[in-house]
Amino acid sequence: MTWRYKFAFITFVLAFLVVAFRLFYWQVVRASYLSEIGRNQYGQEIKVFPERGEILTSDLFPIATNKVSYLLFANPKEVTNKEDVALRVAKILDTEYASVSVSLSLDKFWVPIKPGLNEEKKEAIENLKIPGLGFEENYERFYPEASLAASLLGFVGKDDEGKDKGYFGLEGYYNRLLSGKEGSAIQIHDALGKPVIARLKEEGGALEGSDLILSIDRSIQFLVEKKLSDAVEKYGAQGGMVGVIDPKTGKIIALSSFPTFDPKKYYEYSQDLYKNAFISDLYEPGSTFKPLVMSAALNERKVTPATRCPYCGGPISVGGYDLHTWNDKYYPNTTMTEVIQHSDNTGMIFVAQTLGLEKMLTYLDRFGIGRLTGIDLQGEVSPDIKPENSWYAADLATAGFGQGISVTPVELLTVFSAIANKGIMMKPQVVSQVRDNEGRTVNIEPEIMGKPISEASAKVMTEMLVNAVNKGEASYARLKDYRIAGKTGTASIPIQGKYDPTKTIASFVGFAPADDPKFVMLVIFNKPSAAIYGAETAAPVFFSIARDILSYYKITPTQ
Amino acid sequence: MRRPTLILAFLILTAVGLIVVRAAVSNAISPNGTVLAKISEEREFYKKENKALREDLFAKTSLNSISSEAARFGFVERKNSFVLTKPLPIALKR
Repeated sequence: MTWRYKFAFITFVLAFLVVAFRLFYWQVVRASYLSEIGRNQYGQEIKVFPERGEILTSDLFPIATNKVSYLLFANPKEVTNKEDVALRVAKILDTEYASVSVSLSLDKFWVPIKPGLNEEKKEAIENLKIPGLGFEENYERFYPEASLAASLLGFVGKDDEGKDKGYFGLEGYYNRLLSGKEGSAIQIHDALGKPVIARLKEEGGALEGSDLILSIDRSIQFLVEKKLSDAVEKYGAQGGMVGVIDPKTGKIIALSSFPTFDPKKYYEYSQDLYKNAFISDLYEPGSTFKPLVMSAALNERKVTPATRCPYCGGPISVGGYDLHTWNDKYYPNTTMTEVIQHSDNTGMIFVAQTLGLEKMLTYLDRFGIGRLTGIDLQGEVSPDIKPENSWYAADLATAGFGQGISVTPVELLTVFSAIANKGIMMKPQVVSQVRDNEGRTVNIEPEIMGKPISEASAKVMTEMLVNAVNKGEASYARLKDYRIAGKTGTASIPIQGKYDPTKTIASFVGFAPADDPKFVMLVIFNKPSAAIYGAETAAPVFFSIARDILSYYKITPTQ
Repeated sequence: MRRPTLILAFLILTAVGLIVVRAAVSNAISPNGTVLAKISEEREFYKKENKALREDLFAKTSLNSISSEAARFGFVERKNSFVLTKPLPIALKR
């Protein structure tokens, strides 16, 4: 009998060992394989899409945020009575019956019907209780201030994989920060489809996009846009731009260009409107360039405000060209102060020739002409400055009064902000803070680009510009109770190698209060038809906006 | 003779015990999923409602909206402004 017990015992032990071995094999060696199968059977991988970061103005109001929207999709294989379904769905969605019908007739398991549905429409379709229809929840961009600062914001479109991607402006420049990071999670269901636990874990967890807090003042941006659009219509211009900057920090207070587009429906507009003309358009600045050349000559002590031009009594011949003043009025023996006051081209030819080509190129570089300012917007361009050996005498002469040389509006604004800020040039910036999904903020500190001129030269140039405002051709429009420094500009536009006398770029650039500037502003109109001169178009708009800004900042009159 | 019986009994009891524990644990966690799912659903509902209210609030407090409402209430754009540069007394002590 003993051998039977032994035999049974050994059999049980062997069987137990086999089971233990198999358990070890499946639960340790092939554990991951089993988990995968289990997950596929009972678990569902859910993609966790991060919410795109918001873009807020300086008062923390979001001008670009997100709202929940739904994509209606269908499984055509589950939809019965397709015609009736297409009719009922198209009626609720207010869309073409044909497009819904075509989608439902496809031989697929999943077809999109319509994106961007709100909660109301979703509920209306859910109430139809049609099998085979479902909704995907996602976020879409929402603009509470409509098209305010559209050219600054850019827009959100799709990339090649159908994911959200920012284009142009801030959405383009800061796309990675705003996008965040996609994550995934596993949800386990029982046999009846109910979750065993709400969410198992987040693998490579999602990271919400960071928010951008701008230096843009929403109220000033609003009033600038209103006045700009009214003025473009009033002067019959093809377009217009206004930029306002704080010279001490380089922070952009307002930036607007017109015509503009609706970032929510960007696809309905011409692609030409997407780029921000303030940073992407090159133009010959005309007389608004004269302060740059004059301040360079002052800094080099080549001229003083009292220096007199010995040959400004008539047109000047340079390199075979006769160069005139804008109004064919000449002031023999004119001082440098009067040259700026009268916007005298012949006087500026004298200044440019006195400065010399080498110094002219040095100061163009110091003032950042021909280089990107580095403003944090997508699409900035910069002009090419010819090398020294390609300049002719006529080029130097015309550059003296801002023709034959190209700049972007943001470059000119930055140059003027250096004059307003004691000669120190600050890098223009739009974003002042970045806030992550946990509320932690990182400040973007102001950056000094350089010091092209001394404080003394800047002060002298400021007084010349105040005199130009008080006694120049735009004096009729000035604010009599404030000291404002500024310069008009009326630049001819080169068309097919010649300058068209009837088409101009009319502009005005200035800063206020002159003694302690709170803002520098540049106003530009492209081909105004009602009047072609900067003094008659850009200057009144400048002073109108300046009055509102000074009142908004509660700056009391200084005279 | 006694030892193999004991070992056998031990193995059987261990197996039975593990089966009972497994059943008990599964039973304990299964309703939690339903409760958690309900809480999760409620949380999602309130999140969505907050978002919708936030959207509404931003639309109503936008400058575009305020500007058009202001016009409806009779506010007009300022044409002129003046500044009092000399301090004027409001109340005098006599």
